[in-house]
Amino acid sequence: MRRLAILVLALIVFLPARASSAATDNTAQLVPIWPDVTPIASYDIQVALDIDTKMVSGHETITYTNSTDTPIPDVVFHLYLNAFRDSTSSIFMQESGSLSRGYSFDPDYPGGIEITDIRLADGTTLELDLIEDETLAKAELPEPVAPGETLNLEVEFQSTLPKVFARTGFYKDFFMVGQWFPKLGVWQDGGWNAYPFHSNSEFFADFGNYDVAITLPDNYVTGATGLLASTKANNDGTQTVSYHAEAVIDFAWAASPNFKQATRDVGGLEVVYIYLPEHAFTIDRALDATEAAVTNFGAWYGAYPYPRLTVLDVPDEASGAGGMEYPMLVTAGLEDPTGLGLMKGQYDHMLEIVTIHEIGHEWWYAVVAFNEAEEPWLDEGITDYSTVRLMEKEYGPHEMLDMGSIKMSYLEARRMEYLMMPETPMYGKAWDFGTSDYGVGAYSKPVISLLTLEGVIGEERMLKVMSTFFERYRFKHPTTEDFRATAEEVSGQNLDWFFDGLVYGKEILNYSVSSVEEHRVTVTRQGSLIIPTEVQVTFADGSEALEAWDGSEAQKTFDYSDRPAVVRAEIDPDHKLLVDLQWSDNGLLRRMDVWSWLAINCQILYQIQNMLLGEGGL
Amino acid sequence: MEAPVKTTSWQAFRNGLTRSIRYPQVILCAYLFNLLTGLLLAVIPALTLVDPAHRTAIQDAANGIDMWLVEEILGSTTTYSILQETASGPPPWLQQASLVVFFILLAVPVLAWLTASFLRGGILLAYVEAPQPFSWQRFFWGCWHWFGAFLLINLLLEIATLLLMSILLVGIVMAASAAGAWINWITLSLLVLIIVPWLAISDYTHLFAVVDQTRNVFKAFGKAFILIFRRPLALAGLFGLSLLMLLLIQAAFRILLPSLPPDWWPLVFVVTQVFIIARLWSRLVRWAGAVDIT
Ligand SMILES: [Zn+2]
Repeated sequence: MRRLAILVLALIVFLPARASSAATDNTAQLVPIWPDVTPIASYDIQVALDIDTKMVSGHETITYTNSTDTPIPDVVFHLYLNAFRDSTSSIFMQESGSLSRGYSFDPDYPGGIEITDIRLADGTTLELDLIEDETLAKAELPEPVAPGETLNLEVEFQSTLPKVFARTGFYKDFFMVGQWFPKLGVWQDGGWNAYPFHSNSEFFADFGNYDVAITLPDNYVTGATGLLASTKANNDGTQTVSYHAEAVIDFAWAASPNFKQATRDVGGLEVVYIYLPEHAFTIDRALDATEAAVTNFGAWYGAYPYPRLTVLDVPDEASGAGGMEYPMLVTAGLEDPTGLGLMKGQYDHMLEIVTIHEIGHEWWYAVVAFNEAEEPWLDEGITDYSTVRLMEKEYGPHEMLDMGSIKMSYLEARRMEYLMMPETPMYGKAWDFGTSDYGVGAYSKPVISLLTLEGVIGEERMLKVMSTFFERYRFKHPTTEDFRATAEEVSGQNLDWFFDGLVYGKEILNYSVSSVEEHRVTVTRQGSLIIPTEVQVTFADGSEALEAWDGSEAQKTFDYSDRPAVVRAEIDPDHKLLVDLQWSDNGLLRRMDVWSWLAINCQILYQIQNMLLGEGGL
Repeated sequence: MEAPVKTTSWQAFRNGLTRSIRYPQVILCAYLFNLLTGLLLAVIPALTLVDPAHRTAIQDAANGIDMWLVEEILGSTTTYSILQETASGPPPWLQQASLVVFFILLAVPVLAWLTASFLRGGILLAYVEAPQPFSWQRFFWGCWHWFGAFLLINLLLEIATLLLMSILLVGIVMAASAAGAWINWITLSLLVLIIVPWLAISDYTHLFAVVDQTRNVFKAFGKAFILIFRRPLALAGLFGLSLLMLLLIQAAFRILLPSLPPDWWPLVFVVTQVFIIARLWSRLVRWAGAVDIT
């Protein structure tokens, strides 16, 4: 869910073309290779954007194949934009207090979506009922769709875009068009998996092919999911741009007359950065981050499977549209950590963090398509874990903020959040969380926990777990239990501490060395989380002992009566266990470290002397 | 209205430099007072750090700001209540540390007030009587003679400063919230226009008391008040030059300090003490130079 951008690699081969069909077609001389995935829900959409009324209206043809073994008696649509009709009536507004991503909803510019006509391919009109808070609609079918059968629906709809709010909408002549068309839920286990639009919740959809033709003023530049198939001038001041995408779970697009475009070839993948002129200074930074993400995530998890990746910049005033992932398209934008417009990225790497995070979602959302509503920790957690790893590798240390004496890494920022609410379970539906514990449960704690898992099973094993999971569940909808099975199988370990303790549970842990005597070292565990670790003991002659400790007892004493005096002991000396609430009590010396003590006191003395001078004293 | 022969700011500043260097005893004495007061206060945190100094984490802390440690301190209240299960509120060590910081924050202005009030009579006497040879006896006589008077005037000035500053602060916050960020440059300029004369009044109240050999600080205050209207440019020049000197010292130090390994404390100690002396000296230059503009 939040941010994104993209990716990779070499397996995308452009073959010499069959002749392209449309005369005006200016992009399709090569036939791109799309992933070979049987489509379930495909959409053929023709719409027009009215830049004055901010409306997108038109027609969609849905081709849905029942790939399950139960007959489907009805259809359920998401009408996400109905969450924005006013500031109070929808579940989204009630949960969010009409605040999202730091921006408040402007009731003068509401959004909404209306289905004006829905019928079967044979012309039979269906009756559509709005349900829940009207962000869902349901229509009974005259006959169920039998397993293996295909259903065709013709839908007329009108969408009104709000002023940018919760990822989507307009700002002046900028349009970010997401969650904008009537979209089917996912038929699963004999029912439609489709929830009303909750404020923390993102999305869930079947894979399918999309053909989307958009008519808009001819001076507008567009960016979208998929590949541009054709651009047709209409001789009335408008143009029609057509996009095509296969094996994707959503389609989003953006348009502005001010957009400029920069491209880069990354190992055969075409990366496009669509930016606003005022952000031209971000071109290299955004493309470098994109290249790093595509290359590294490709190497860690598996190649990016689509023929193009578009990274989209957003206006400063519309940053509510930034930091979002869609298949083959991510939105980034400069993020000012102060929120005051004081920083333009000169001291920080928020642009890179956002870009890399959103591109990470191409693996963990777009390809491995988790149910973001039911298990948000999976896509956000795994994506943010990937982001932390890559930021450290490419931009570390202090890669998030480096401003004089204020230095911070992205991981440190996540650990800070974790330390504030470490008992938040990661598992839960998006709406089980409040705004702040959602950030911890879906982002910070998964990052800290997955890095701890990596520390315990080792980096190589961890990457093997992740790449196996990716390979196994590409273009599928895995759950937490699927991840558990893969992780336990590949690591060859029982990972109850991770899943029962941290994912589903609220267990916490603090390991410490509680005493160091001449020939004895005592270590202590606080909290019920038990993770195997090690204790490093240093003796007076400089020799060392590394003891494995499974942590099962609350306290354990190691006896060294036959060795030289102990001078120092440290539990988890390499700080592999990031979930440990206090590292500061991990190491203990038998005698105090006078040198370090003097160094700190020297600084304190200096501060006091300065204060005395500053207070007019001498 | 100006009298015919006037010392310029530059001459006063140069005389301040030579006069302050002529009496290194004054600099030494002022520095020793600063160091000893600092050490007195530093004893308390040093004692509370004995226990933490048994933790290996002290080695990270000695190496500069350690963000991991900062986070654990910031999160310690939460962590403590979770780990102790029944506890609420900050852990005992944090309560103790807060008390120590609170005590130091209270003690610093008091000690600054006492030491400055004591030493200032002797220091100014030495500069006023320049180029007489330095006499410790005369110096301490000066310290003692004006001690009570300066305690009083510094207390009153401090209270007035606090009032002035809080009014200014409220004004700045209101102005900044009403207008944009550009207003900060205007308020900053206004601030300088108020602070510099205020500082000058404070400096000259002390100086006139010594020059006129009076302990009637209110009379001295009146003379100082008149002076800033009589010689505004000369005073602004002198204060500007000594501010520039301080800024150069600060800049040199800012460049130097980050290149020092923090746990190499003997070197850090020497460098920081040199900086304290330099900062002190720039203040004494201003006081010594002020003697010429009266
Ligand atoms: Zn995300």
